[in-house]
Amino acid sequence: MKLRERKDNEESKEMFENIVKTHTARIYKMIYNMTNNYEISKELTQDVFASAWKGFKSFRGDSSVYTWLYRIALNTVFRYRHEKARQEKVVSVDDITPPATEDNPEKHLLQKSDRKLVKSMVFSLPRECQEILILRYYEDHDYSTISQILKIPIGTVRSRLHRTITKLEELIKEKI
Amino acid sequence: MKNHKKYEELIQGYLDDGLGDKEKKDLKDHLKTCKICEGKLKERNNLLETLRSTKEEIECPEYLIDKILKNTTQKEPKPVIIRWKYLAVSAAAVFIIFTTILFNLQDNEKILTTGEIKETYEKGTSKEIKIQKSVDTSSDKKKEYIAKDEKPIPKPPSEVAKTEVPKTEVAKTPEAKLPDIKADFARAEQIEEVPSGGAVEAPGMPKTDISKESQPLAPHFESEKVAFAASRIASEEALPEVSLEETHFVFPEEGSVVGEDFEIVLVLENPAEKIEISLDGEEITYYTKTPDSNVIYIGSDSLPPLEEGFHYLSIKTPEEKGITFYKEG
Repeated sequence: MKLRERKDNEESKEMFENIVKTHTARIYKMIYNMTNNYEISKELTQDVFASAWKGFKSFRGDSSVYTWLYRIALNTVFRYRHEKARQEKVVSVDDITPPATEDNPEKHLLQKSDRKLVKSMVFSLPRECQEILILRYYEDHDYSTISQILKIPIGTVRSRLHRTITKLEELIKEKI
Repeated sequence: MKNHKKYEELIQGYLDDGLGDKEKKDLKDHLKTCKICEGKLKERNNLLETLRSTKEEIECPEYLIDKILKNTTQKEPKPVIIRWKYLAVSAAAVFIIFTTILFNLQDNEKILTTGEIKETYEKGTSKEIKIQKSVDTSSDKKKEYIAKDEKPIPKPPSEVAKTEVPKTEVAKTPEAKLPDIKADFARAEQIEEVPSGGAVEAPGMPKTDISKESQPLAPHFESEKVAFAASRIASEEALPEVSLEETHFVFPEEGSVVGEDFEIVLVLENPAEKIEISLDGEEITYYTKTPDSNVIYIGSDSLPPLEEGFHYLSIKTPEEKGITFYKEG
């Protein structure tokens, strides 16, 4: 192996190790919130970084490292869920029994059981809606970062968020 | 109504802190006069708060980072491992089979074998390919002897009495070699169909008798083929000063005992710790068991899965002279 290549390899390793140390926790937490399972989250987080390491040499740095990692993470989780859905019947939002109807539904949304229901409704939405909700309200990314991760214009981020929240409101009104 | 729809999206942007100054002022002005949109703002704000509250805060296990590093930057590339135990057993088995065959043949005064191929491919002033096949002449089955030499290679005493074969041109590039090799095998197939009788006539070749009278054998070997191989391995003088650039083999070998399990034996002129070969363009490194060994056995289990057909094999390192390559079942 040429000296230059070896040096490049050493540098790449060092850079990647820093990336792992900086971003693992955040990626793991996001995956956990999408899967609600510790073991699966650990496995998928490892898969994310294994994919990232494979593609690290060809990563040109056009986007920032963490937007690139988020993209890999979202793809990894949705691929996993797609595989899982093929193996077992997915629980649809219609299967979830809503709590007893009250006069003021919004008040009850804050209760734990309702939060669970809202979360299940989020994950019954199409992939593009789920992604944008997670990045905005779980990961607290601004429109500009979301547009980089999802590779869509900033205007589309706002309109997609509005459309998604409107859809979610309708679902909640239907169920509660 | 149309206006409300426009402001609904602005409300979303406002709550996400995603509005420009102009849009923000526009919305604020509208909210002062529109109770519906003001109610919508509160309603949506509540929903977004609820949504945020569904996020679960957990701790990331510390060992996860170490685990990831072990599987990425700290992961060593998989080395090719030669299973010496397996090879030793194979070598012993091959030795026993050969010894048994030789003793049987000695008893019956018969020549040879189960159908084995030895290929020697060398480069000197010109390239040579020697494909040798010999079959039990006592049976009614296949009999053949094919030899294709451009230049006579140094022969052990056992070979001196053997019938000389005519020289033919062999192309110098691997691509160009292929048709010739294929032609050889096509010719071999034709020959195999010739009824037995002790002598085989190949097109363009003189009659070649492989009966025992015409093939004096080395003192310790009934088989001239074995004697030939052994003498080449044992004697450095017997190895011509050439380097092996590239050779080929056919897998599995037709009419031979070469099946899924076979062994490639590489005999180097000098001992080497490791050898790097290129098999169909894929580079593989093998290590000898001891650094002072000059024989490397490559079992089929340590090779990539081989498809039926021609395969090219070349030795990248060491770049030395006199490498004998042959394979056996």
